[in-house]
This record gives sequence, structure tokens and C-alpha cells, in this order.
Amino acid sequence: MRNFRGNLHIGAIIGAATLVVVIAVGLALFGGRTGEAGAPSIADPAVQHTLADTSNQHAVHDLTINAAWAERALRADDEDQVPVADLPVIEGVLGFAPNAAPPVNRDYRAHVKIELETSEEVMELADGVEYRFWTFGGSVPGPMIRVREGDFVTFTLQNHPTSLMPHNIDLHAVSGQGGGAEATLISPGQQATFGFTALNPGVYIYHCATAPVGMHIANGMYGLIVVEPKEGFTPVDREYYVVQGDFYTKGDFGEKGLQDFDMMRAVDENAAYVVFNGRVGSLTGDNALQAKVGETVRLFVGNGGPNLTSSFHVIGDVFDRVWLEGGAMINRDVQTTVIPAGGAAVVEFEADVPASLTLVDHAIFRAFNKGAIGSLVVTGEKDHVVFTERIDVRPYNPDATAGN
Amino acid sequence: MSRHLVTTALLALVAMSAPVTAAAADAATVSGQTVQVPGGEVALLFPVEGEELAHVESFELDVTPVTNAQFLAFVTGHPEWRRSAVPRVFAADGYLSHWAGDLELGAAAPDAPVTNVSWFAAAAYCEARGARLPTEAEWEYAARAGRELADGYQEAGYRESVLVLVSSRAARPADVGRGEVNAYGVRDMHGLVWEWVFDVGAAMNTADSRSSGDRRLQLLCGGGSAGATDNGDYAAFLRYAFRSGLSGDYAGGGLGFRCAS
Repeated sequence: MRNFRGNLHIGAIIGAATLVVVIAVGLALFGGRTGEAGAPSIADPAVQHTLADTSNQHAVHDLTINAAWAERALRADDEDQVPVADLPVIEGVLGFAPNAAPPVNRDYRAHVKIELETSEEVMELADGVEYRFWTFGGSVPGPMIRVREGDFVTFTLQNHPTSLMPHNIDLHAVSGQGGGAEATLISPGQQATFGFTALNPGVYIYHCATAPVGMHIANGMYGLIVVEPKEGFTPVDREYYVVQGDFYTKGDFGEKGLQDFDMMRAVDENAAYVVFNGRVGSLTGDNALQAKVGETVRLFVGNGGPNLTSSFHVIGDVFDRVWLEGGAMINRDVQTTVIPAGGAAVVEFEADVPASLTLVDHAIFRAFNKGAIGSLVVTGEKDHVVFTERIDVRPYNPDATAGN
Repeated sequence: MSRHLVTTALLALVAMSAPVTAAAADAATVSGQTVQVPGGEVALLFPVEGEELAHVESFELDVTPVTNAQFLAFVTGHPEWRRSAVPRVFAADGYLSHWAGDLELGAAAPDAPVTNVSWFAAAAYCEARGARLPTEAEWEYAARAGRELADGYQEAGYRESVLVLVSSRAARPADVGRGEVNAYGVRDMHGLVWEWVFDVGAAMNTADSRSSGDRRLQLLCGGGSAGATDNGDYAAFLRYAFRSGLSGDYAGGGLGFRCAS
């Protein structure tokens, strides 16, 4: 045993000589990292060159899928030849669930700047049930990001100083190492910036990809980035933002108090909770989504997972259109659409008659017992041709009838 | 020597040394103490290539993380490490930012672990004491000890309890000496703060080691499972991921250190 306080004078004597040794060792251990300068500017000619090359390569891609989106995504338009440095710079607009980010409403490329903060927050997972969420933007899901195909995005990730954990972001819309994961790894109290071009239109999950990745996702670190096709989405009356996720708590569903993450439960894929928008009840009661008869509703639906594939269904209506997996292929007249963990879809439907529609994961025990349920309340005029409601009710006794 | 023999020997050693109950200790008493950790072998989460088990020689380790009061005494005697004097290349902006001034703790608890210290400052502190930062292998070896066994993973539920300790830390760490104590008599390895190790930078950032580069990419992009020795050791993944983001000048509120020799 040694008492450090008694040795202090030794440290004082060693003084400056020690400092030199420590610095030398430190520089050797950390190599070039300590002295690294900031990120290269997008005004850098080398960066420009890369971008120009990239758009040229698109023209020669072989297109094998049939949707118009995909052809446009891989085609170099005149606007794609505009150097990034000449693009108008705009601040990205985010959407906070259940509200979608507003349409980009642009017919030109832009240089979009986006900042997103990671933080760790104790919030309710259900009434009386608290959980230590790890978040993008302080909420689960993280904010919905919306850009336009061809936009150059300068993305800054900030890790709040009170975070315990390092975090980063893997945007599935990004073509590049880890979807940005390596470029954005930051310790608490740091921020990092990288840039990317939104090459492919579609609806994409983003998530934290720091090890152990399953735990970061299971704690709520996911959201959607929507890359609008160049011509934009057809305007609709209502757009909402819904992300499903599964949670693994020590206590079973409904057990009150602050619940710890249960690693074994997560490994076993035995979710205690399956919820929309990070909380039991986020879309029910006073939080129900709203629409009026005759309106077209568009849902941007993601699935953060980490484990469970969603059988996404809205009880009481049929999806008129579904962008399968958030990609270029549109399916029509769909009852239930598959949304894989780390995937997304866009569903659209006209609200035909007044009803309380119910959003569920149609793996139905998840809705009934684990929280995967939400409401969309449609108000307005009834249409008794589309749906009569109950016309008649009377006793039914087949045995009595047979006896006559 | 087999794992079993090591464990048996350690148990005997532990039985003869100081009591290892989890009772809270007086911070001022235990924070100046060190213990001798007997040598042995440990399966690191990411083993050095060619070494399935890392061999660790017997070493001395601080019972607790270094406290604010201890670090204040250090900077008092070493003005070059005071907040206003240290070159930013050796300690980034957050360095000792939770103190009221160069030599004033302010609201910082004297017996809480010192945080917001860079690797350079931590290494200088240990050096001034005639000690050093523990290597990653030493730290991981000491941290693997359970409540009673040198290999805590042989204790039911221990690994899970460590994960809870790590992920439920308070944003402002409590005083040292009040948390968990392991079979070596080492305290607060998991529940208070992250801790610097000597070779944190070397393990992650050498450009000439293909395996190290792969490891970094795995931790950041692939979720980190490939190449790891134990995919269920989430607490270790959290530690390795945390280290993978560090540079030597980093000074953050959740990161402290202890010394070894």
C-alpha cells in the first residue's frame, strides 16, 4: 500500500522532465490524430472532381428495375452538373414524430446543412415505466430528415456533453463507409461533420452504429431520412411519421419504475415492448393521428428494430399505394406491408369514411400485449355506400330453426 | 497454468488479504491505496493477433479512480498542468472545466473521481507519482474480477450486473469508494466513470496494423461482433467503443483514470 499524498513532493521534483517524457510517449501512441486539422472543405477542387466523376458514372449504370424513380436516380440531369460550391445553401428542416418533415418543395439541387444531437434521456416507455433512452434529438424516433435527390448534405452530429456513451450515425441513404458511421464517431462533448450526396431517392432508416450496435438501437437510436425524388412526392392532405421499435427491459411489460436494458432478452429477441414512436400510447387517446373524410393520408413508416420485422397494417382501411421497402416499386391495394428491421415504407390511403382506424403490427400479440398500437381518427360525412354500418341485429338460433 | 489453478490460487490469496465486502469505504482512506493484482491471463474482447490470451504480470493498481482532491494536489505542485496553463494540444477545451478555477474545485466534490482530464494529464499525474496508467490488458484483467472470483464471468449474473453498472452511471459521478468492490479489493471499476488506459491510442489508431484498423471499423460500422472473443460481453463492447473514439487531448465529463505500477 502506498499513500500518494506522501509522494507528492517527488512529483514536484520530477516536474518538467516528466512532462517531456509523457508528451513524447503520448504523441507516439496517438500518432497523427492529435494534430489533425479540420475536415476538407467541399470547395476543395479534389472534392469537386469526385462529385463530377460520380454523376458521370450514373449515366452508364444498367437499369434493371421497372420504376420511374430508379431511372431518374441513376440518370445525370443537367442540374447534377452544377458544382456543389455553386449550390444554394439551406438549413435542413426536421420533422418531429408524429409530424413528418415538410416537403422540400424545390425543383433544384441544394447544399443542405443538417445538425443532429445525440443525448441520453430518462423518459417514459409506458405510463409509470421509465427507461434510459439513447436518442437522436432527444426523442424516439429521432427527427425525420427530408432532402431532395441530388442534394449535397453537410451533416453534423453532436454528442451532448452529458452523454455517457460515444455515438455515431449510419444513414442508410448514404453511399460511403458505414453510411457515415466512421466519420461521425464522437465522444461525449464532441461533434463531427461529413458530407454526402443523396444519390438514391427513397425512405431510409438512420441509426447509431457504435458497438454494441444492437444496444444503441434497442435504446432508441433511429429515425428516418427521406430523399424525395426530383419531382417530389404528389402533394397529399396529411403526412405523418411513425417508427416502430422493440424494447428489452428487465421487467416485463407494464412493470413500473426505471427499467434497465436486458441484454439476454435482446439477444433472445424476446421483446418486452413493441411500440410506435418510442412509447406505449404515443399514437392513442389524445395523441391519435387525425384526418378528415376525403383526405389522402401518407405515412412514412420506419422500423428501427433492432430485431423484429413489422407486419404493418391499418385496421379499417386498405393502403391504396405502398412504396415497398421505401424504394422505387409501388404496390397497390395492400392490406399489410412488411417493414423489416432497419427498413421503411411509405403507405398512402384515402380516408373514405369516418372511423377510428387502428395502426398495428399485425403480428398481433405485439399490438395486444406489447404496445404496437396506434389510432388514426377519421372524422366527416358518412358514406353508406362505402360502409353501411350496422343495418340490423336480431337473435340467431340455428338449432331452433332446424327443429321446425 | 490452467484457468482453474489460477482461480484457486487467487481465491487463496484473496482469502488471506483484506476483507472484500461491498461495504462502503471512507473515500479519503481508500482513495490513496493500491492493491497488488496477481499476474495471470485474460481473454481480451479483441485479442492481440497471435495471442489468444493476454498474459499480465503482477502489478499494483489504485483501489479507486483518482479524485478531484488528488488531482488538485497534483496541479498545485505542477503548474504546467493547470487549466489556464496547459497547451490545448495536450488537453482540449473541456479540461478540468468542472472546477471553479485553476486551483479551486468549486462545486466539484473533492472525493469524486476527477474527470475532464486528457490522457496526457492523466499520464503525467501517474508519472509524477512514480506510477503509470494501466495497460488496456491490465485494466481489462482487473476489471474481469467478480465479487469473489478472479473470473467474474463464472459468477451467475455478474456480467449482466456490470452492464447495468456501466449503463446506469450518474452524469455527475459519486464519491469514490462507495461502489462495487471486486475480488482483488479494487473498487469502482464499472459504476463511476470510464478510465484512461496507457495504450488506448495505440490499440485503435495505428495505421500499419491491419487488425487494429479492422477492429475500429467493426466497432463503428459493423456493430463490432466479428473478431470479438465474447459477443455477449456488452460492457466490454461499450468500453472498447468508447476508447475507439478517443484522442489523447480529449477531456470529457465521464472519463477519469487510475494509476498502476
